[in-house]
Amino acid sequence: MIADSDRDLIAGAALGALEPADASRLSALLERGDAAAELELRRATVAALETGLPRLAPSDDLFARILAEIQPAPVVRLRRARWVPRVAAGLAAAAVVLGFVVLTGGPGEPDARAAVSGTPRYADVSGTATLDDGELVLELERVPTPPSGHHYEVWVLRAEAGGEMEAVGSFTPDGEGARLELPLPGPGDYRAVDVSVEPDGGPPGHSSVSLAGGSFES
Amino acid sequence: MPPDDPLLLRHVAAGETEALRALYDRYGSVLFGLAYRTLGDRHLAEDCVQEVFVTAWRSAGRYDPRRATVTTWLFTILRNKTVDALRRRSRRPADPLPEHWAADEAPDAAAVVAAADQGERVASALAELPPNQLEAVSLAYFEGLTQAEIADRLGVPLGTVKGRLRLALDRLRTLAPAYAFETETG
Repeated sequence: MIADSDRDLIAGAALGALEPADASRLSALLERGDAAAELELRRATVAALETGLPRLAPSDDLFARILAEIQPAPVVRLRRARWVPRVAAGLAAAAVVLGFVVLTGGPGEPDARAAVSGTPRYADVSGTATLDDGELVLELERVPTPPSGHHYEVWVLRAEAGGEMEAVGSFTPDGEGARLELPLPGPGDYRAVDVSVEPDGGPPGHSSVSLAGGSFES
Repeated sequence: MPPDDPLLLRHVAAGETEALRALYDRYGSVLFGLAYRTLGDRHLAEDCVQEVFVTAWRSAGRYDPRRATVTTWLFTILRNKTVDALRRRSRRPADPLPEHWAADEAPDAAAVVAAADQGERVASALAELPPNQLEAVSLAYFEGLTQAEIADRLGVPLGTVKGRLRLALDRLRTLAPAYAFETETG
């Protein structure tokens, strides 16, 4: 007669679900013929499962993708933008490092619009950015979950800022799509938008790692 | 005691995403395994499972428990989605072979059907487990968690998890006797 606690151990072994610390207890148990036979039977059941279904789990973000499809993109109200007094990179450096080029020569105006595309590492990301009534409206699709300990930061670049990018808010997506409405730092000739990957609690400047970006066209 | 499937589906019909999440936690891995077994392609399988739950979300109000169990209903939706996926793939001759088939062993239609049928029988056996046993065995089987990790994930005592896994295997031995017999003797 095998005790239930031993049968629990055997079931865990058959499923490959034992902790390493249980191994010696299992070895001792299997010296008994009835326990060894019980394990064989359990393994046969698990093998039967494997005949029908692979031991594979879907991706961790699959349910988030389902949610994104059944719900409209969430409106995320972000914390007020913090001003960035200085950003290490100037305009030219930013354009190169962040993977976008300022294409428009004319000043930005209300209702300016930019197509946003992912940098090569995040090529699936796409979206639009619109400047309207003192707000940046940023809509993104296929946004991956940021790396552990990181979040995304939204930046704008305006001509009168001397090539310095200004942070307008940060967010962590709870689905693959996001719609952000962010107050702009003030009137100006907005040239570009960028979304960076930032470490939580990191320094205030741009990390130089961009998720996506785009240039405004009036 | 976790809610039964028809109750969950009523909550889904009421627009509660938490209920959809519970349904996904209960059956997502089984459906994915079944889709993967049929399609042999992780991305396609995940797309099908996504479509199943989106369909469930939109159609939950039309579910009639007198006509089918929730699992039969979900499996039927999945079967339709996988058939559609197979048809789409057959119209794209340049598609690469599924991940788990080597170039010299491309499956014929009969093999695909047989794989789907075998997968569905095992999936049905899993789906007949009580929800708390299915949850535990899915975490061990599909996600490879240990008993202790499952206890942490579910927030239940370790002894409870061990018991659920044992009872699940007890029931599966009865529910899938053909497979067990073949394996034991083969």
